[in-house]
Amino acid sequence: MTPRRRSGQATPWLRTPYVLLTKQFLRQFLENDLISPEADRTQLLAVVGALAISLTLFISMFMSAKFIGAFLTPGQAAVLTLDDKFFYLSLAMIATALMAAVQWDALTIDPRDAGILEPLPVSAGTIRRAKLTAVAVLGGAVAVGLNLFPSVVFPWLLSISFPQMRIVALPGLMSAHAVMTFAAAAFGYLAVIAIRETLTMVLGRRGFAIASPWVQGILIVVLGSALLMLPPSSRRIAQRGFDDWRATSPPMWFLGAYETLAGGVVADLPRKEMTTRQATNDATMSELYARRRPQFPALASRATLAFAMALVIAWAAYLWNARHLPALTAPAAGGRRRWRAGERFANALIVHDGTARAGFYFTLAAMWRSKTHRVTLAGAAAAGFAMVLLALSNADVEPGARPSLRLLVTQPLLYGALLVGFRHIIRVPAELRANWGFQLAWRERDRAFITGVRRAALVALVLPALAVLLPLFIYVLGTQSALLHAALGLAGAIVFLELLLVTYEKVPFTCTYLPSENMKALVPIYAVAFLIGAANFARMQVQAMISGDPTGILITLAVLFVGLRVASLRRVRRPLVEFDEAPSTFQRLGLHT
Amino acid sequence: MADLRAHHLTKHFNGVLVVKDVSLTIRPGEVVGYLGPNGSGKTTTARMLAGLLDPSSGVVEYNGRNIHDDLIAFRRQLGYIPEEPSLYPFLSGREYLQLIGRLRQLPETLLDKKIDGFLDLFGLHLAADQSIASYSKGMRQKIVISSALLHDPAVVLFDEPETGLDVTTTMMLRHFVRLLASRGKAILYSSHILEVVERVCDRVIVLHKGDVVADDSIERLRALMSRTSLEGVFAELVIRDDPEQMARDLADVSALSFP
Repeated sequence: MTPRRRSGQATPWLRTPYVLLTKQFLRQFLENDLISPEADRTQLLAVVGALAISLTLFISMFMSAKFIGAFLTPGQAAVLTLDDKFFYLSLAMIATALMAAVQWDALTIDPRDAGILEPLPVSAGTIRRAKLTAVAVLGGAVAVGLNLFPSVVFPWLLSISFPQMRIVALPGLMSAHAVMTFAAAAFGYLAVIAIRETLTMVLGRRGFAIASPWVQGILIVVLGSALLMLPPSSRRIAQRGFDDWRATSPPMWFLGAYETLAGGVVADLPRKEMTTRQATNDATMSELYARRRPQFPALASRATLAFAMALVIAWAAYLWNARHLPALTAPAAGGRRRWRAGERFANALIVHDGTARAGFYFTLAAMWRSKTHRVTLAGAAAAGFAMVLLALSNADVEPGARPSLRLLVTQPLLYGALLVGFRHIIRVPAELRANWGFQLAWRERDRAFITGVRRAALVALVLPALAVLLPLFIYVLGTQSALLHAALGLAGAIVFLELLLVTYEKVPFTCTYLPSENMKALVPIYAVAFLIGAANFARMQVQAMISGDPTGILITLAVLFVGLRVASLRRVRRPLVEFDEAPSTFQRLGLHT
Repeated sequence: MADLRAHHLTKHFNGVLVVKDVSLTIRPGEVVGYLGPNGSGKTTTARMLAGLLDPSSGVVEYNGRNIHDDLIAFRRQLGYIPEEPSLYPFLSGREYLQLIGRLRQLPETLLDKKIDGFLDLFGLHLAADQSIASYSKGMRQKIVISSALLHDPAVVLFDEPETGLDVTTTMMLRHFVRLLASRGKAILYSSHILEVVERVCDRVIVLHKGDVVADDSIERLRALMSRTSLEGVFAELVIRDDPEQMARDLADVSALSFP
């Protein structure tokens, strides 16, 4: 009789070094979002999984509801579903690419992992295979999580409108949707890996270490903006066509492949009896679809080629870079000395007091060099740029145009998003275990320290945001008006920052993170208030610029600033630098709350 | 210059007694050795003395006043070198020292001079602008020691400061501790290395399972215990098991093989 395995004893293959390492590497992906090793990974995974599934289920039900009882003709459905398919393909592609960009440093073997694992009797090949498997599992899990429900719900609800569709066509539609969205997701994921690994190969590990934070930040901003811009850009796809720059868009390639694979399932359905109006609509839409149809194979070829290239480049570069496990190497010396001139300038003009300097430089360092803080700020920048693009899409941006609300609101939207992100990151500790140094050196000069923090935000976030938009305003409004607009924007940013910090009573970057319990309820209110505030401020700027007299807006800002500063000074501030015995609720970063 | 005194310090963690009724005095110009095996409560005592941890009962006084009455004033006089040098990994060594010096409100020119001096003397000038993430444990320890001494404190608590340091730096540190004492600083020196404690300290306190089991000068302890070295005294006071037998047991466990 075969002895029964004791409960809790894992099957032998689950205890091989390869499987154990793969599990360990997968765990590291979760820990990337943590600020404490004691955080509950299972809870985090459950929350993220439930969020992904419920969100995609809701989106697919919401988007496909239009097919129920709509009496659509096959021609109408063929055209209308192009928008939906473009949305699903783009969502899959951008979301997985964004996931890869957020997990940027965890995508390859970390030098510290290599340092720990290399002395063990595990071959380098096993370590490499385990990491590669973990990366593939992560990408696959995200792709499945995003596409599982839409692959069922969208074709199913679409088929309800067409009883003439053969039963076997529905599984075909579902399979086509699943395959194409999964391919789009894989392409997005592989493209980010290809970028990362090619850069490592070209720049070398040291060069990559310098360029990496910038590339990661830019990717998050671009992909985040694209994700937020997705709903408005997924409209009237067939009407806009697939020519010119649209033919260079990766989601369009995969849409072409999708239509080549399964477009005819709906478009070529036999027509039932229709009213005259329906027949006219069907003929018009079928004609439009027929005009676009010859372009799909060319787009499909591009999708195939792009996918193959991304796969080959990512695979080859990954294996090339992984042929030696990374060693702990010191970054190039002297890299930070180049900023000494800037430091002298800042000391002379921006921060005079020692404690304020501590706050200023510590904030700059934490914002850019701490991964958690950098990624959060990149997300805020993505939101800001998405709002800017939406506002500009309907604005008059011809040279000599009059200042308009849609144009001028872009500025407060961009720096406002960045400052809201900043307000969040100062609540997240830079390194809890290092707080003892702060605690011992702290002199209860929290006001001076926060002055430095505030100025760092203005220098590192507001001024670049104003500078990014300045060329556009010079082009549209002329130099003088653009400079006036920038100056008013800076004044507005100072007041907004004062508003954001009026209730802040802790020492930035040092205190344990406690997510606000009612944040989910407050976020929509804050978001609406922010948009109304930005619009009102832009409206005041429009009036000031048209009249050529900014006195009114300056007085308003000055009054607001003084009021907020008085309110801030009246609050009893205590330097709540918490170090030990933090409550268990602080453990998870909870950026989603 | 003033004394640092602990009166009947006791600390529980989740009901577990870690430090039990510890009383000690550190006078200016004196180096007090703090000895004990792993888990005996040395670090917990040092953190309570630094005001980083509240005692469950008992008080710490500096200059006759409870340090918690004016913690900031006490910390102006305090330098603390912890056992585990946790630092901000994204800052460079120089940036960390600047941060601490600025928080301590040291004048900028003086701070720059001190930082350059410490970095040069510790041989860190080449690595000064690299991020701390790339530092070895010894390099981090040197940054911690520098940050604790930037403001010329009157009381210095060394909690196993030689961890990760090379031989030259450890030897230098011994002389440095003596020199600080000769300049009137009150020093607590917690360490595992009995030889260092024997050479550096005027007095030793031996801790075992949270209890003070000895508090006297090294000479008197040697005489009382009829031992020729501090190691012998320590063995008599703290080591309950036979080290040789324990070593044999360890080797046997290590040699266990599959049947």
